Amino acid sequence: MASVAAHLPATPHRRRKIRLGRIVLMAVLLLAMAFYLMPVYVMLMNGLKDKSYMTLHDMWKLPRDLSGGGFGYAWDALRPNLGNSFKMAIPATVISAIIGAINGYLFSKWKFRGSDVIFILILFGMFIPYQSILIPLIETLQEIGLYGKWYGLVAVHVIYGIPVTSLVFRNYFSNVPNELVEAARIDGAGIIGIFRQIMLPLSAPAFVVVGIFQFTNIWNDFLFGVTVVFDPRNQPITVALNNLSGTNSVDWTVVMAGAVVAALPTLVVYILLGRFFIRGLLAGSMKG
Amino acid sequence: MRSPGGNSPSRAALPSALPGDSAGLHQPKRRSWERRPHLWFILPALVAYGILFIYPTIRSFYLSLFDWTGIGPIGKMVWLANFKELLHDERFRKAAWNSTKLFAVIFVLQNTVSLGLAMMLNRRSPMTHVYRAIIFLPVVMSAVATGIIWVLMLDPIIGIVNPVLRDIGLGSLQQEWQADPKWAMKTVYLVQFWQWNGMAVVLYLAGLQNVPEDLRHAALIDGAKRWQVFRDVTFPMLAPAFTIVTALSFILIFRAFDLIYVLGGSTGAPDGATLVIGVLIYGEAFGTSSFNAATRMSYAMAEGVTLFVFLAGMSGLLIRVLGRREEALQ
Repeated sequence: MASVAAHLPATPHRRRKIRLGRIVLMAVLLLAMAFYLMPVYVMLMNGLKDKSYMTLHDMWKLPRDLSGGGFGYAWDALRPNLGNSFKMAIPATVISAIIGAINGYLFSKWKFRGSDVIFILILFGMFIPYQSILIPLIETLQEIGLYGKWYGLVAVHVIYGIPVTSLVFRNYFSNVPNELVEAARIDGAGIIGIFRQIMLPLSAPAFVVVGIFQFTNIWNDFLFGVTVVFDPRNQPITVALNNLSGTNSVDWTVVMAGAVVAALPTLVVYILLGRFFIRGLLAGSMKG
Repeated sequence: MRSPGGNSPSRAALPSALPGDSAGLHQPKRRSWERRPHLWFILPALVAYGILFIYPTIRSFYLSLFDWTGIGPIGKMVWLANFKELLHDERFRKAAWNSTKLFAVIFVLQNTVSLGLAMMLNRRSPMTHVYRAIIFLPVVMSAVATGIIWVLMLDPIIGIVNPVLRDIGLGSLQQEWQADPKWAMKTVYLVQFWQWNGMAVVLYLAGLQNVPEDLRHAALIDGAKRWQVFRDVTFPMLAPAFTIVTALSFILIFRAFDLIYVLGGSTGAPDGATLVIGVLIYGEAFGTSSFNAATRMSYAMAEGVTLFVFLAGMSGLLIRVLGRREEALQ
């Protein structure tokens, strides 16, 4: 108590100090915010601009009119690839989350002899640099008839997502008390019953985390997209965007508009569900 | 990656209880698949994983022992010659060094800037929620889109960075960012940090929620300086978050490919200044450009194997050391 009393008279001084601290804090946060939003601003504004209006002095400025700048061209150029990305990313995300949930459930609640070893071996997949196994992967895909097909890309994303989805679900399901599982077993529930009646109703947060994580990963993937699918018409949007910017006469308004088109789906998903994603991360379902 | 510490005995006993006593009375001789129904559920995923992941991995290990361009018939077996060559390969050394520098820089930034931001944002108010969301935005953005935007912003002719520097009185800092070998790698640090900072901030925020406010207040009231409270109370209690942030960025950075590929191309332009290990492997495997399509697949695989062994070993070590540190601090 004595030490508390000793500090009390100092409050006015301390308050001024805190106020100054708050101003500094706000300034730092605002600066960091500008650093974060500037690229997004540049992308949007220059995508909307007319080509002739995009010069050094005008980069900051708002577009002059609502002609849509590079968006018309970017949309025409990228629309097929945008469709490819949706066609690939949505099923891959759903299947990936389901497999992760099943694996996580079995690895946490139905341990069998060697299951921990298998789990660790699966986690080793996270250390493999994909570049160096791409050729054997492509050979294997050719052998089983998946090479160059969009569903081949789905299969690749599902399989290569197994380490991380299994890890998240396993850690999440580990927190479900074993007593609950045992009680259900005694009541006669089987492996599927326990999963449906106990695990699934509890697992919404893990599904959100894995779903967003996988959707953004798969949507943003470049390496598999450029190698597993060879026909440019079937490639995902990230590859098409990179090709768009790689052409010799770069029209930056088109490229920026293209970047917006390519980035928008994950941004929308994140804006709609991001709260749950961050909450899930904060709740520790990524720990391990 | 940590095995769950409080692994209750009941969990381990649960499945193995099945074939034993009472169940055995009803059906004395059930086949193992019926006794372990869960194997049916895990097997399809494991088989697919084996075919599309483990088999190509093992095959790449095997092919790294050959002399093969990646096109046409596989050449003769050269055993460890590719690995021996790696030891003296200037480009491999340079790429490894660049990846190491990138990790070191990001590590420092994460434990100063990211951690600092997390501490500033560790309060409940609508503004901090908005802020947290904005800072996390780049994490979900396509690396290709991110790279392209930064290429435009850093462009010395039409980019935005140089004029801004001039306008705020820092004109002397203007550079030909991406064309100058001295600055190119520094721009990679910047863009990489721009994209992934949000992840570190959110993970540190998660850690900070486990640091009781009371404890910090008590220490402050007892006359501890803010810095001391941070050093002796807050940072030690952040040990689990520190482990995750460090291990995650370690794996991410040593495998990093697409963002840096968009920034510097497959040769690590200019003049190999931005060559990192992930880009190097890609270039060896698939050729550095449409003009130079010479590939050395087996050599790339040898590099891949080396990176895998390094990553698995170092991550294991990192997690063990940091796990010990967590235990020691708690």
